[in-house]
Amino acid sequence: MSKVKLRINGIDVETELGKTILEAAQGLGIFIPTLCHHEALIPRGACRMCIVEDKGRLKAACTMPAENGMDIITDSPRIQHIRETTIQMIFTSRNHYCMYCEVSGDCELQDLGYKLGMDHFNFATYENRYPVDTTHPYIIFEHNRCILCGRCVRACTDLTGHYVLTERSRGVKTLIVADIESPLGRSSCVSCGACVQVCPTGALIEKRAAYQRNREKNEQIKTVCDMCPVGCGIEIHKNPGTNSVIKIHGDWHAGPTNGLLCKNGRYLSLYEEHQVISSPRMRRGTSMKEIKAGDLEGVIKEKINGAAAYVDGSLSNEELSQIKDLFGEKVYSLRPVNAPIPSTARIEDLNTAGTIVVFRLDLDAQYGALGSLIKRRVATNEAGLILVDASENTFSKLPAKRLGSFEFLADIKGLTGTNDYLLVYQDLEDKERAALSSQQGMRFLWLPPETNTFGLAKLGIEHAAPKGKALFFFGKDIPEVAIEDGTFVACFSPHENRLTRRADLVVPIRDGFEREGTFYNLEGEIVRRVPVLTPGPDRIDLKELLVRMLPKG
Amino acid sequence: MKTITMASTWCEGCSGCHMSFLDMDERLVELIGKGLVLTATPITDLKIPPMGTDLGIIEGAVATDHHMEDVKELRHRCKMIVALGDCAVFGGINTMRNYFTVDELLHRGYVTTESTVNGTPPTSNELGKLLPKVLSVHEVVKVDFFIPGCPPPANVIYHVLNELVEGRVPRLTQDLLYYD
Repeated sequence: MSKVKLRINGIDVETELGKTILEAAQGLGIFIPTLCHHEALIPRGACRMCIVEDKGRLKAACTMPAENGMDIITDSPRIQHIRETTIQMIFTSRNHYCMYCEVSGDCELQDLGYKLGMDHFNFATYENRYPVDTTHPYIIFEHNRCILCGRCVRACTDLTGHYVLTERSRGVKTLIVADIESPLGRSSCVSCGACVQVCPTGALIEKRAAYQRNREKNEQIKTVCDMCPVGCGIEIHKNPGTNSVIKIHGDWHAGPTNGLLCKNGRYLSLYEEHQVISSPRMRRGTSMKEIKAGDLEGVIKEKINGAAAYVDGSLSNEELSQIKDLFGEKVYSLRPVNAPIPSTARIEDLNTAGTIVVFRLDLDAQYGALGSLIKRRVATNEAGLILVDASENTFSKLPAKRLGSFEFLADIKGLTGTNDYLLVYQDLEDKERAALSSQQGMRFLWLPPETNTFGLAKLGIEHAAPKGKALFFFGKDIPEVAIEDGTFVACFSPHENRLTRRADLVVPIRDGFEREGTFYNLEGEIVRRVPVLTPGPDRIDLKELLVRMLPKG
Repeated sequence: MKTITMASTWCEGCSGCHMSFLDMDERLVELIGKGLVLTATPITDLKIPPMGTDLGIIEGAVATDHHMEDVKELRHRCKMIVALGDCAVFGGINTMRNYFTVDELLHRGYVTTESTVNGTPPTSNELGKLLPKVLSVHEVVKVDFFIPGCPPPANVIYHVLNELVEGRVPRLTQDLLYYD
């Protein structure tokens, strides 16, 4: 790659062609204040905080590519004056009083005010009133705190491909709007939350996280999301003094989606409300009686002979292999575990594939981060999209070819090229599987139905309908199952579910935020989940219990 | 010993900044030992400071004609004016009412409040008349030094006063600046 030579604050520096002045300066460790700039977004040059001088001419460092012969000064009385004036104008354009703002203490505008030493406003303070939009189930859009940096718009378009947010009007009347003036809650927003994560001020805030901020900054725990087998890298924010998760952010530096999240990972994992199982209980005669955690071992031992175990994909590899050790061959999955056609592509291939074929899936609802990877390329015509047997969903507004399964199979018959199509699917009919697996020019990416479906398959746990005199169920998401009368049923789950009412033994186990363990993501790689919360006293650690149950030695 | 005389007042504020001032605790005694003299302050309970007082500290925004008078009087009598706290510096939380007219405001406060029965806005001449908009102090008189914060922590106030009594020009660097 060709290089350009320039000088920054008197230091000669060589940088790659196409890098901005800001990137070149950061490479030298020179600080240039920024506000609308964000590492994950395309630079825009909206706020003018990063203004620098090039032989007397002012340039925005975040958007201006470095050129040969530039002589950049990043700080001078003139630049300082411009930055101070700019920050004052931003502060006084709307309501930017920190004292009653949700993000005070964790706000990029505030930080910059401190850095530039702004101790009062030279301009008259705000008088224009802007709307506050609280219609969204998870997000508040407080337009009075908006600085029009356009980060949310860029996150909603270039980054995630949803194209919901945009700007309307000009000057002081500019407003960020969803779907051309629809309240956020009734817009086509898919609640991925990327806009909130990138907002530098208190304009976009999360309802659940509101006013839970800690002045000393929240504790941030990096781990992976366990809502689906994609396994996006996340940062869990927790106030050090409390035993609750405040919010979940995407980790910009972790694969496979580099910070993109979906509604399930960012919000549903926190909003999911289930009735807690208060303590282990057992059927005695016609009623359920609480039993002590210490007695559990004996009760299980009594019933375990000849019993079969049924597990779901929420369990970790460690838990699954212990269940296997305990129940031998009689461990079965509650759902299918095998791919109709095994994957031949990786998630990153969605970034390069020429045409992506989505088979009967609502990606934004189930695998939103992957949906974003696809949508953003389709929206800019970088990739073609074929929706096969698609129901009406958020993908419908994309420029896509919509085909029935039969038409699609007929369409691709003559295909001889290599890797033209990347197929994304979950279930396939036998006919489709037969036609597709022998087809040339296809790559496949199977999306397993459960988080650790891959782990179940790797351990050789197969899908079977529950049958037997004693059944042990493990997991958080237990489907409707038919159970004969007179069968002993034990249910190990983090919360009450449809089976706990029928069960003869109910044992509360730790949930996703409380336990440690690994699972296989859909690429077949092991990812680790770390505990974030301290479990309640009656929550049984399944691993510990199983270890105690296993024969010694 | 060279002394610095000081007066303070509060306008549309919650007295939190004065509480913060008192939060200096024994350091206030130390400052007095170094030559700080309190003239008219809510602490000494004198209303009007002598002419030529060195330092006039104002807490709170300017919201009524009484505040306007107070602030102008203090400016007239003091060599240097310090705006203390977010209300004095920026207008603060009081500026929320700048979205409304004075009539709307009084009607809401004294007539349509859920707990009010047959209410009317007070009309006594003893009371200050609300200005159309809440103003920060420097929109009314010249301010020489700003200490933002809601309230500014005691150590910030101490820092400023200590610099002054020791004959230096105070400067609020990053770690002494607070907007909340």
